[in-house]
Amino acid sequence: MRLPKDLVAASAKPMVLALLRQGDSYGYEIIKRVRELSDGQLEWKEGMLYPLLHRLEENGLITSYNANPDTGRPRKYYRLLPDGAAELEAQQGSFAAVFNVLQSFDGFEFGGSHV
Amino acid sequence: MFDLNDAVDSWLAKAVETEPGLGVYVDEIADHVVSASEANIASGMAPADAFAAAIEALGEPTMLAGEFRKDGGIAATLRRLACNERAPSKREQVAMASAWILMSLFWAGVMIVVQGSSTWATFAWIVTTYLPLTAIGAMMSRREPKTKAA
Repeated sequence: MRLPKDLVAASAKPMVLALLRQGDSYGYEIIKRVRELSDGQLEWKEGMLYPLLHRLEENGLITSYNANPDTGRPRKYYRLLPDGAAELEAQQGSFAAVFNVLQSFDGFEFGGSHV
Repeated sequence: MFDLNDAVDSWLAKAVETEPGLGVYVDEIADHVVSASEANIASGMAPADAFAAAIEALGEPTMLAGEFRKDGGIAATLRRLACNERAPSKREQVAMASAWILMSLFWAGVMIVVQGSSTWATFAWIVTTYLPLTAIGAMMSRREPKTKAA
């Protein structure tokens, strides 16, 4: 099952911030990690992720630095900043509120191992 | 012998030539293609095939640039500001103030040139400058960014 585009877009920001809270990462790894965590339900496009990373950096939520991996080509890593951590907490609260409301409806149950 | 880095550089140079908009993301795209190619090689593909598969998965440069464009530009910026997704940057604030001043000076100049029939020029100033720029300015300054919350 593929998720609707608007849901993917709304969840992209907190997901990137949450992934970076686990440690510094780079574009390809972030896309791969999201695919793994969602069992393939979330297939992020490069065209969505890279502008988002640039925007988060412009907003002071994350920062980037270049490091040289084994390939010898500089790789751009991203790191979560304190403002980004605060934003992530705010987003967690919002998602929790939506989740709680949805769950309060009869017959609206969340299944699956990732919820 | 096939050199992955050379192949990536060559492909990327052509892609940026076709779609200059990709230039902003050139480092990320290059690293992405290298990483994807290496993953393909690790799964048993020949280097040249691995590279071909990586760029095929990435999509045509035109399509990729189109994806990037969706996220950029004035319309997308205004939408984010309107949704209070973020606060305006200093650069955007300066751009707005400059636009306001320049447009006002332009219409003031028009009014001076067409002395005696300045009603339409005043109306044009209100429609093209005062109302839109004041609305955008109000939108940009109405609240603190969400990032400062919590």
